[in-house]
Amino acid sequence: MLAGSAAITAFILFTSYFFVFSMEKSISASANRLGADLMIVPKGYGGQAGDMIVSGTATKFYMPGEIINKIKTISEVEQASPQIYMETLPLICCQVEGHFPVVAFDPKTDFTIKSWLAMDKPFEKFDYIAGAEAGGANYLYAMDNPAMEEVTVMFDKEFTMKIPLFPTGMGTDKTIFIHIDAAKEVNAGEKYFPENSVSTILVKTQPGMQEFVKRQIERMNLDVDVVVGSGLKQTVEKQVLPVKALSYIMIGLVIIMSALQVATMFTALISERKKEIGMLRAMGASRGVTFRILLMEAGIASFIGASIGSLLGGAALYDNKTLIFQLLQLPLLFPNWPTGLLIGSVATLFTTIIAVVAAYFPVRSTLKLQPYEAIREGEY
Amino acid sequence: MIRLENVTKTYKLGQEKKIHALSDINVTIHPGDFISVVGPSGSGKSTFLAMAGLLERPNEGNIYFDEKEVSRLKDKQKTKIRAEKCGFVFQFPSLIPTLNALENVILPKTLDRTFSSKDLERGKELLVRVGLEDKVDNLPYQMSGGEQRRVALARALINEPEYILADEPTGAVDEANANIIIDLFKNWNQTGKTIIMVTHDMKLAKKASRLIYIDKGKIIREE
Repeated sequence: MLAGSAAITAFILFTSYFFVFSMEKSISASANRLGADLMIVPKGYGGQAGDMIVSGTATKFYMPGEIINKIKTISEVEQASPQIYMETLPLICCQVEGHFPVVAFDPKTDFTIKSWLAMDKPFEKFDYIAGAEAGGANYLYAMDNPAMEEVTVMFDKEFTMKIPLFPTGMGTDKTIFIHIDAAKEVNAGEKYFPENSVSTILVKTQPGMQEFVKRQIERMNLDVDVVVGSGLKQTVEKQVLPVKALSYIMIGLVIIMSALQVATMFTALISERKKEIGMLRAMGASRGVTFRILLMEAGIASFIGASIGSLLGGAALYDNKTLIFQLLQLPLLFPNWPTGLLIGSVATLFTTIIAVVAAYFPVRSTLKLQPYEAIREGEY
Repeated sequence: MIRLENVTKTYKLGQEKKIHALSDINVTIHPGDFISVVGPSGSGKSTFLAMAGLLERPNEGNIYFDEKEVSRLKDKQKTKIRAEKCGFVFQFPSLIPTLNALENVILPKTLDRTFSSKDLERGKELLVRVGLEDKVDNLPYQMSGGEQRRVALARALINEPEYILADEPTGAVDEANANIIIDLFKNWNQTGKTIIMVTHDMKLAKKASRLIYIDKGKIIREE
């Protein structure tokens, strides 16, 4: 019974924390996507920068690629990643027909696109990522199906659809992203954009340093416009704070309820076993030994139960990942297996500790009785 | 030798009511005694046994083991005395259901952490002595009530105690098993063990060498 109770507790703890963790991961990813602190575009195009994000219109403007190296010299810059707007192509992508802007990005330095990826998969040179409305949504719930890797011809080259993007509600949804190295290769003879140039550079600064970095860039006279992020990141974080707080309150309540449940259950179990406890003590078990035996029993039973509960929780979540995405319609980013395993281990350990702590008080109270008292009380 | 001197035990029943389980008991149990403690239900027989076996603390009076006052010793010290000097047989089924007969017999050795491989041999030998050599690996549910009681007897002897304290050892067993148990007690008594047996069965009680009659918490007669 104790093992069963521990299994339920661990299951709830595991799934609750798993969801909170996934949600936090998603929020952090959203914040990254929404909150490139600075966007650097060629001089005179600053006004169009917002359109690029919101509508996904691939505007043909370019600036020298080496600007990124200069920007990286500013110590307050944490990340800087280039994007190249290529063409808007008429395509059939993942069973969806339309005109899709194609944008090249650098997977090595990117911190915005990857936050929206629906799965963690190796991304090769001639692979592409499809925004939700550019066919990605069709494969969003069949991510593990290798058949989704269909081939599309772009710029006279075959590209393999690799990963869909979660819906972002922005221009990204209509965009197809390709590897920057592939873009450079198909661009031989400057067919699509001037060589060694980029359209925009997305910059992540140290917290609160946006304005400072902006001024630093402007002082460099790079012939660029620096657009400060919309502050959406902070807004999102503020908005999700109550949700996060609520989730943690829920976890706290689960822990308290579990502790009370185990304590109640153990009180009943100990009460039923008073006779046995009295007998063990009569046979030569000291209070200390009996105490250790009973707590160890509680620990082992709850550890076994909690392990089963965590395993079941993990299996239920990972096995029904697609169903959960469909039901919640949220860009939940599931943790990878090692992190999932870590959450499971922590849930198991935590449940075991709760059980042992909860068992401590009824055991201690019973052991205060003399052996014969325990036997007598156990008979009624 | 165990000596109870002016031992009184009172249990509280609710806020005000008190039950006098034992009142001013004075008795000396000599090495080699085979004592039957008899009396009606609720007379205080089991409490008497609990006092003699240091399973309970008296409200008043003293308990001596080999002339040393022990009733007010710390729990650890009393546990040590119990483990070394006393073997208990209870009136209720007292075997651990998940342990087989042999494991139940050697249980006291594992509890006081003095277990060694020799104890396995001794456990088997004791099971032979109680006539259960073919039940060594049986779990309690695979044995009859009488057989379980005999396993409990073997367990009481595993620490080679001086005193065997048995509370209704023949309760709820058939006559044949009851006779086997009493014969075992007699044999052990002849080897020098002191037996203190609580029973309400006068026929069996009379097989002991000494009878103590208890009623309303007092010794009313000794034979």
